[in-house]
Amino acid sequence: MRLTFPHMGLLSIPVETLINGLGHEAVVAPPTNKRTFELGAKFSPEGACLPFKVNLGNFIEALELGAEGILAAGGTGPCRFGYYAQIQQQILQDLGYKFQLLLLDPPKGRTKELYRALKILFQYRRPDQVVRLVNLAWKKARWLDRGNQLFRYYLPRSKDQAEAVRCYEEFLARIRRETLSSQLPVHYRDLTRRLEDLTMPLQADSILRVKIIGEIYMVLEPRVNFHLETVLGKMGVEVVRPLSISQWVEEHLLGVFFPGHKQRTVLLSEPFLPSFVGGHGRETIAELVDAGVNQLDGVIQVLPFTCMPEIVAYSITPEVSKVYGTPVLTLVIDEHSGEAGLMTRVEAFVDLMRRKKALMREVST
Amino acid sequence: MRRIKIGIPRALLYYWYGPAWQVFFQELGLTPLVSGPTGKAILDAGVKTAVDEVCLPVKVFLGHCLTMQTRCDRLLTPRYISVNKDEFICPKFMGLPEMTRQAVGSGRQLIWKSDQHCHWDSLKALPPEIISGFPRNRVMKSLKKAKAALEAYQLLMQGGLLPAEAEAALLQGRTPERTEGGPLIGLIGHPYCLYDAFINLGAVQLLQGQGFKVMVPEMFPARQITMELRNLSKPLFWTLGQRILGTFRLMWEKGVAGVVYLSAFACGPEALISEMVKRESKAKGLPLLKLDLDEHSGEAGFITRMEAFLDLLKRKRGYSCV
Repeated sequence: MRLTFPHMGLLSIPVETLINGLGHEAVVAPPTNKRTFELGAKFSPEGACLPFKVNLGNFIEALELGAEGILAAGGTGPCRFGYYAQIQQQILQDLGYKFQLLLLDPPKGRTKELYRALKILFQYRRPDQVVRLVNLAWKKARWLDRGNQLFRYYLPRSKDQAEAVRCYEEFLARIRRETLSSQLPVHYRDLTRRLEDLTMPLQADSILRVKIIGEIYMVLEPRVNFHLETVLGKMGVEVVRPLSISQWVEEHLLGVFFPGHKQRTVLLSEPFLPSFVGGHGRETIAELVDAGVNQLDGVIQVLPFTCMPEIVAYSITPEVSKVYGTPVLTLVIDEHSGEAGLMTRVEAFVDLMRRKKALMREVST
Repeated sequence: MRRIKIGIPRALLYYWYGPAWQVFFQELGLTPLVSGPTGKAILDAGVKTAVDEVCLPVKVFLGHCLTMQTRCDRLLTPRYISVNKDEFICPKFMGLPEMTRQAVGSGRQLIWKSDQHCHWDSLKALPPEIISGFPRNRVMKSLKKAKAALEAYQLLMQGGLLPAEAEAALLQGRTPERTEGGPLIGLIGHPYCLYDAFINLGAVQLLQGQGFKVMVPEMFPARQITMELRNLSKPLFWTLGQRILGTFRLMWEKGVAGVVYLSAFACGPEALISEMVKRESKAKGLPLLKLDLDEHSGEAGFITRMEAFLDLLKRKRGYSCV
């Protein structure tokens, strides 16, 4: 079957590997662009959050390219993500598209739907082949996230930033093509070497360290957050980002094997938000506390307009920020957000952080 | 003991649990103090403190807390995460005590919980101050009374009373005088949008004034709604959302002339629920008017749209009679 799936940052690379390897054909939607936004906003409910609209736009563009099936994930609430697929299915059907929805819903009570989706997905391959393939896709996700982390570290420290971006993009392309999991570390080491060669000598504390937190889709998808990480990197800011695809998989799908993520979130957010609020609301507070404890220079929270869990977190950030003295900038993004206005705010925030750091240095010497 | 005043904000889930809370605190010998109906001052206070992105009902809640905090010793801020199995209310209700603390300042809060593992009427869900301050059997007895009051309250509403009337009937024994009759019209939305006459600009009275008999979601028992929604491809995980969609279908079965849907601007679940309601209304051919409420709602525009909708309904009825 010609299968498509929503974009989210680097997710398309491992998922494409998985779908193609399983004997289906992956129809990767065109990278999120202006038309995606327009299509999504036109056919979505007005008050739906931006990820819903962009995903819908991705689906429409992929269906235009001839996709026959949509692979989507679900959830159990209270975040709206859990009900995306049902509404999107209705909207797309009303628009006249014919497709099959393969829904990977968490098996809470209703396993029939999940079983059906997995059966269709794995129909062409033997179980041992499936295991090998899932392993490859998982390793890809892991190495991609590590490569991304490396890139975020080296970008502000490199003398030729355009070249650093090129190296990183080449690394992504190589990982995408790779079929052997043993070769993945080789590409990573190659990227490390090339980025190291580009570094320039710097004063010890001229680099600002800023953490990006918030709703996972907005944080991970550069085409929706106006390439925030790269922009910050080019301003000489090292971006620290706890959220990633592999982290999400570890926490939500393999939580039994990686209990640390959840324990960390609960421990750190307890004094400020002792309750689960859906989505990544609690993680946002936990990571903000972590940034405060580790004395990062600032934190940027990114959320889509009307995102419920993040609004709860947003209401609490001033309190946390006051306790640890960590500057926080909250960016609320929707389809009407303008790049210029957003960038002005980010630049001003970076200037303020830099000033604060310089003042602190003066005081201490 | 009588002198300890517990402030109960007349907002959000007050319209579902208010009487039960009042009875509970009364039985314990405390004085429940319910904040007055929402007004301009309350709304303004809430809007000023809350972050912009929060929905109107939460701003109203914060406004109630702010205006009554000086008049009471403890402020009830419920944390109702879930009142039914595998369902949720809304993320904002989960962080409500923290959002209130941010606005009102710390201390003096009574946090009454309800989640998957401890339902609101269990001993564990109660505020710790209550548990430690009163003998266990007395708390149990009060809780039992509160539960009975809630059931009576729900029965009164299912009998056709609006929440405010049902509350008056239950707590003060006042039966409402109301002339029944006229064509049926449905009014759906979250309880805190429908029954707060200030934020919805008196929608209920407006409809009644136009000679309609208003049906509201609280007039249907939960069991019927569950039955009605059995055929959904995936069960809705928002209790309030379920009620909206379920009662919309039930109202159609009862033969309402049309449905008015009041939703709060930037309400998360409603963005998706309203899409489902819209689709069903189209399929069923049932007229639907959806109005978004926010702190900038202008009375004129609101009433004009409502009246135009009612005129169209009457016109449609006139034609169908011929």
